[in-house]
Amino acid sequence: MKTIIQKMALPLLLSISVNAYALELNESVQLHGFVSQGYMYSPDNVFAGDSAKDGSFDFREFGLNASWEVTPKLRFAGQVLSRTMDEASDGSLKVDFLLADYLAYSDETSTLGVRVGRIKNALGLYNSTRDIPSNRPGITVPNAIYFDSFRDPVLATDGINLYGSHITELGSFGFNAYAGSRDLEGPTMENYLFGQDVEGEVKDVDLKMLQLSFKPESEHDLNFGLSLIQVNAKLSGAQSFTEAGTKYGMDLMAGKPFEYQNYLTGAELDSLLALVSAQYGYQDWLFTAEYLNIFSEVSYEVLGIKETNRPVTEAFSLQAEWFATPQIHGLLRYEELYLINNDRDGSTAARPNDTYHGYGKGLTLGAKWLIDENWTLRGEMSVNEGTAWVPVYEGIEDVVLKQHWNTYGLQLTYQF
Amino acid sequence: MLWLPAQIISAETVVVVNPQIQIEHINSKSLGRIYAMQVKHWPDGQPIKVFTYSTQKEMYRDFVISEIKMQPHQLERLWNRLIFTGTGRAPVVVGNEQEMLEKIRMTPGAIGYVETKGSLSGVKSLKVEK
Repeated sequence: MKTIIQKMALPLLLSISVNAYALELNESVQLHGFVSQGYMYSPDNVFAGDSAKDGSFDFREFGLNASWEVTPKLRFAGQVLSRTMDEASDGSLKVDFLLADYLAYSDETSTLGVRVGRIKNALGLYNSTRDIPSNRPGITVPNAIYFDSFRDPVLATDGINLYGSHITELGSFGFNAYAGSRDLEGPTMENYLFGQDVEGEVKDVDLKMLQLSFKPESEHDLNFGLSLIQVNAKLSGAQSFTEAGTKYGMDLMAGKPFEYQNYLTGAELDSLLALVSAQYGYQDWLFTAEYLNIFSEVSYEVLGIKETNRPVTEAFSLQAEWFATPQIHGLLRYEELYLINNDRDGSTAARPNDTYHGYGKGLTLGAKWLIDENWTLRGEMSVNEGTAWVPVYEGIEDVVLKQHWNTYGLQLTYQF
Repeated sequence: MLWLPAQIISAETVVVVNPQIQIEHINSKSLGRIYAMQVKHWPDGQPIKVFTYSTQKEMYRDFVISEIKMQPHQLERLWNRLIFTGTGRAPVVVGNEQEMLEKIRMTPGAIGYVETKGSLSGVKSLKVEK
């Protein structure tokens, strides 16, 4: 790796003296990574597959990244990531981000820059680091806010990101603006839209995002954030009108109950996610609150007839972290999610095998032991009601899910 | 106020910079922004090179709590976010005070901290206004 970089860097650094070059080169490349091994016991409901019902070690993560500072203004960075979550994620290696970062302006009060490539979206406090164990408050990020259906669509943008910050007497202001798209794999978006996998697939989404942050100038350790992200997606490869009509005729004759999802001839999604975040640090405590609304317009065509739904998804999360000692930290979190906000009992969003899919309430209790600089061990339990954030995998619609379910997890992480 | 006794018994932290840097003092807030990697240039436009020790070292924790007035976990999360989202870089970690002083002497724009008050030749110590 270093030899390639040396070769590439050489022309750029020719003007610098040999000593400075050597020093610069040593410190211009940083490598970091992590490996995690989890254990999950989910006795009541499936969790990313069957195996966690009896306790499973099929939960692993791996990440490796490099950052190369070519000049103080120009930097390249990239990361590969692998996530194994039983049947929900197969552990295949993915390019998590790969970007060029140009710091166009920087002085003691202001910065302005641009990034191009695949860039993680700084949505809320945890989206951009949801796959990084050391930056998650627990074994998972808050489930109600960062629920599975919108995980892949908003994780990163293939496109451009303008960023900047400014320090005033009031405090520090920051912004990030993103535009681009993202390819999707798997049926999670289809599941969110239609409650099941359907004919055709949502292959990619168009993304536009704005994130604002404010840290007031005060003795208190306070942070506020607002993230807005616009997601547009289309169902491609849906059945033709003739195919859907034929299927409908045959199902009718067979006496099957009518389910519109089986006769979709087209669909489009237009969503705006608005996420407000606040964090307050007081001595050994860190309190975090986040509130999410997703305003969606789902237009779909059933047997050629157009319909439009305008559901609003609502969620919040309240979290307290206690840094009891430098090595031992505790976590307490309460969260709620309603896929359709005026359907609190979830009856509208109910599915044949998943009656309580429309909502989720959860209480999580966790502890973390930072064994040394590299090793961390976590333990956690969650008591949940409603199944809105049960991880999606292919075939989950065939499993009957219970209303009340607990999970117990352990996770060992090595990071360098 | 839990850290107060530790502060009393530990040696005083001295913030050191490369001698070419044209400032004599710095306040806790600015120091915090430099260590959070938010402010990237000195007032004269020179890029800042930030040095620190392992997060396990008492010296690091004392520095963050008493000089920057932050909690170490907050700073570490900021660094982790920069590293693992590719949006920035963390400070360079050195092994001991001797290595720290050598880096500060050799690297234009460098900032770091030590606890030894003796032999600060070739570096400049900054007074921290709290």
